Amino acid sequence: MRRLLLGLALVAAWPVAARAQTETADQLRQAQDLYERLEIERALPLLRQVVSRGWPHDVTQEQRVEAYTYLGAALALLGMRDSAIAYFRDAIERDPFTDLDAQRFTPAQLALFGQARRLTFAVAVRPVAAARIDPRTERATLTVVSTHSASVRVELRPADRRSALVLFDGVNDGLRELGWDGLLPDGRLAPPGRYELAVVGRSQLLGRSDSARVYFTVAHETPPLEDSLPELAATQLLPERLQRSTGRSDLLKGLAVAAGALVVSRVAANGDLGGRGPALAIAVGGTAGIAGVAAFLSARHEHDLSANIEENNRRRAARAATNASIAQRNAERIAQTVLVIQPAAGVGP
Amino acid sequence: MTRAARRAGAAGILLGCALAPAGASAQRIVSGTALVSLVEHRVDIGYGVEESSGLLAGAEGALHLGRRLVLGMRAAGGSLTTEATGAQNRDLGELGIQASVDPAPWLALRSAATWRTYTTPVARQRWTLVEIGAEARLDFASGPVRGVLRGGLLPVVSVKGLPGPDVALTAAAGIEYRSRSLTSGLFYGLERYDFPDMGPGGPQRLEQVSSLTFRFTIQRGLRRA
Repeated sequence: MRRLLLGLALVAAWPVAARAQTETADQLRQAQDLYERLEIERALPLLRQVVSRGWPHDVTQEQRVEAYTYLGAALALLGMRDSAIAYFRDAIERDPFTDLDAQRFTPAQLALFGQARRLTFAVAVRPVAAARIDPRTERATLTVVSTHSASVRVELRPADRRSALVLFDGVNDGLRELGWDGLLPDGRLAPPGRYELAVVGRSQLLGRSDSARVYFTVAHETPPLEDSLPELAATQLLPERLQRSTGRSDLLKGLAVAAGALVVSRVAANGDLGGRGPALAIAVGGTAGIAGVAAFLSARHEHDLSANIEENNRRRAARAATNASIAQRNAERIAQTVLVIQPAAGVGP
Repeated sequence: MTRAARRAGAAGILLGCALAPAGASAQRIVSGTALVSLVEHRVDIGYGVEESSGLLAGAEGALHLGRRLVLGMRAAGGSLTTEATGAQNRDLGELGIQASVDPAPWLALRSAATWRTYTTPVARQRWTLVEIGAEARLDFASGPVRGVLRGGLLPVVSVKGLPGPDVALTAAAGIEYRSRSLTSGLFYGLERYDFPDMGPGGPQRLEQVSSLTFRFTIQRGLRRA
């Protein structure tokens, strides 16, 4: 019953939350239309409502950044430089990737925005996009930003290890795209797992530091591998040492064949037809019996069976050669491994 | 069971053996065999036993697909002479195909089809035989010697002018010696056919082939493509 009530509550709440965000989006769209028609005085109250604490509807981070950006741009058009810079800074602090499109905004607005960037210091990492990378020919693109000139170090490391791959270490200003070939510092392909992409920066203008990080997972996509041959079982190898029990066993086998030949000639054959069948059977049975007796006598003294040892060595060598070729083919398949990158939960700092 | 049903069943078993899957990492081995048989053919159609005997020479070729499946062909021929009064010498020729599957190292399940012809100056008799059976292999632990015991039934025996036999079986026992890729063997074999009475009160045809066979086989491995 409680689950049912909870479900009903969620169903009832969903349209409310969606409607709240829609209200904010409508308000922003209306303010942008007014801004585009240069009805700045009418656009400003709408934008201020969105960023005010009294706004009753949900506001996403993107919507808030957009509102601050348009507030700065609108005030820049009105010549209110300090207020414009303050709003631009609010936008940049919330999203260091914020930028103004030079095609849509005036040089004065761009200049004030640049000034705001110089007064604000932040670094950020863009969440890693899902991608499928062939390390031999492709690179994963990782994007970082610093709001103005800064000493920046970008590191990529497995989440559970200390070894880090330094993707960039130097002075950066603005957006920077970095390519990653899927290899770690030791030259090996990044093993499957969770990774952290971290950026640390120190402003060259303000002397302040900032950091940020995002996480992603790496998986391998490798063609199916062949199984190598298992160790040769005892039944697959010949005895390498002759023992007395072996002689007794071989004697029984020889006698079994002899008996079999006689049974065939006496029982399976048609007695009414007679013939030389029994004589032929005795020839074969006698040979088998002699072979069995010879094996029995040979086994009275234990000794190594050089022929069997040689044969076993040949079988082991054949297995080793087969496994070597399987290992070679598997290595070729592993070399074709493709990295599958997916964004993971958790952001920083 | 009707003759057609027996033929269909035997053909199914033969096909099943032939199509049984070989190992993925199949190593292909070919073997060739030369054989010489001392054959004794005895038949009684109600007027006493007629015996003929002689030497047959033959050859076999086999392809080993993996560790378990072997496909083969054989051909043999020779003359059988008789001293029976009124009987004639005859030539014997035969062609055959065979397949075997090894469910265990010591056991093989076999199936074979053979087309055999007996020819005399005045007549020719054609036989079509389908065999299903098993072969037990007794490897000696002390050396490269193997004992072989073989038995089978002939569910299809088609002889022109004769009804199908009531009893048709084959059996063999032998011993092989292997030295590297060469194997020599000595086998005693038997084929027995008891045909039904030729009508009420009529004579019964009994026929039997015994043989002592020397076999020499050489094996070679094939490189995989």
